[in-house]
Amino acid sequence: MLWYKSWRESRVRFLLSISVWTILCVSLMYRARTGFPPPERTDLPYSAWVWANIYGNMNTTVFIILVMILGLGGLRREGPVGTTSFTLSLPVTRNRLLGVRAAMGLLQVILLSFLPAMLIPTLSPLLARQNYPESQALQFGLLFMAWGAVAFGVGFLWSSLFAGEFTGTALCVISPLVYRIFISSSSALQRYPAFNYANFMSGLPYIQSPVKVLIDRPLPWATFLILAAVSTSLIALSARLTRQQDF
Amino acid sequence: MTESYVIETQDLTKRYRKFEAVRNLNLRVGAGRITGFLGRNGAGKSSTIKMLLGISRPSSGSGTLLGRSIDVAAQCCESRRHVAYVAEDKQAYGYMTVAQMIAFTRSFYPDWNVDMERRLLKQFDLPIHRKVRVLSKGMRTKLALLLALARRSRLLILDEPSEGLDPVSIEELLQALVRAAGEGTTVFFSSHQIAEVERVADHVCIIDRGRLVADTSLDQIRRDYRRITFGFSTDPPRVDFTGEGIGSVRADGRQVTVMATRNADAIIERGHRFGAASIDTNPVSLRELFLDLVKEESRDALV
Repeated sequence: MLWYKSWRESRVRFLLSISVWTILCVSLMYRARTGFPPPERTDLPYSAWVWANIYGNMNTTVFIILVMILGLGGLRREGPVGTTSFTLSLPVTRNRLLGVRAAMGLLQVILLSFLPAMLIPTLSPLLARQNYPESQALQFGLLFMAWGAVAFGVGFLWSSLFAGEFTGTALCVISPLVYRIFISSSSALQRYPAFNYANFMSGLPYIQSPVKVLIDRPLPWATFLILAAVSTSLIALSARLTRQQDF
Repeated sequence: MTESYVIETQDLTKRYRKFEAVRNLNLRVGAGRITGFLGRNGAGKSSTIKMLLGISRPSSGSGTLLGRSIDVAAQCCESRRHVAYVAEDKQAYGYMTVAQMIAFTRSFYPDWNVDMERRLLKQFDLPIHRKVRVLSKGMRTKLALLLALARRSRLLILDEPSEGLDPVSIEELLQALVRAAGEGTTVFFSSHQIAEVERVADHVCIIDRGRLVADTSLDQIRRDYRRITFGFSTDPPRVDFTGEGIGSVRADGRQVTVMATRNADAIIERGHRFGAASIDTNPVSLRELFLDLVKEESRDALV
């Protein structure tokens, strides 16, 4: 039943995120029906159009904000609502409470990451009268998932530090933007493409052909592992803080 | 026969920065009793209960709940399997309906008493399909009580259970507590409503400014506690009234009032020796005892 509680507490945020992401994907394909190819670039491949409108623009920041917001909630948030005492009087450890919430959130991040992979190859023939390779959508999904997990971990950490609903949300909006500015201003960090979430999620380091804009280099599996470790560490830190907190 | 205790604390202390909410509390709650935990607002009742349940951590000292340490997360979690708790704010998840809330709570307790659940649902007239967030405070309290009582727990802890309830609901609550105790559950409830404690409790612990100032049975208060007023024809002599059985001493003009916790006869005899012109002895109610213990001026033992 902790899963049920976790789902009920996150479902509005999750359904909102799914809606935003679905609207972005569907509107892209709907626009492609009449607006693709653009008159000034009649030779533009559909894959490049999808990349420019979904994977390679500010949508990466929107995605990061959405998954960070998925990380919010939890015991600190229950404080102002007044249910912390009830939750903590149940015969479950704080670790288990957090574990279930983290697992539910990560599952939602995975679904959100692969939503374009489900929508774009399926709906492109219907809405845009174009085809988009499923394998490409899945690879972009992996890139989104890897950084999405880290962003979720950051949101999760904010949730264990701040009780206010607006404080957490504001931090989730501000922190990716601040992080982007920080990364752009540091030449040392720019040498590592994985540090720049927008660069990493757009797949740019793994795309050879600038015309078709398709991932044709091997995916960075070691980086995936590092990002997974970062996400796990953030969640573990959050659990450690929560274990020590008074409610 | 040695008495078994469901709650035991040793020098339990809780500090919030410089403020000490609970100070070196040595509390023992016997099994099978209804124990009232009395204190003014902010006396440290809720802080104590939260430490016992692992909701907050002691700053120092230690304690056990049903024989398991309150400092070790795993042990604390294990003891919570046998404890039902009704928090001060009586909040439940607002997004769930009453039925969902019951199903959710039931899933954690294999011994859930379905008959009790049905009986209380009917008795409290709870609307099972209504969302918790739209329930009145009285209804929320009743739901919290149902969720606690149906767990078939060994220990029932309630923090200010009657706060915000109308007289009829308070009556139902008190009856439910007495019934739970009759079925073998130990009840420990905090309150600042002396009349409620006096009605249902058989033992009382009084906390003031984080310290335990009384730990006694209601029977003992009725049997042994006396307010003895000595009247003197001149200013009272400066004599030492402290000693065994003397709770507090207060001087007011030519009168000296002693709160005796036992040995009333010996204290009266002492008053005679000191030259008291009149001696008036009265039984002490819980209310009088409570006020005597928590009133600041009562601490000043004059004479």
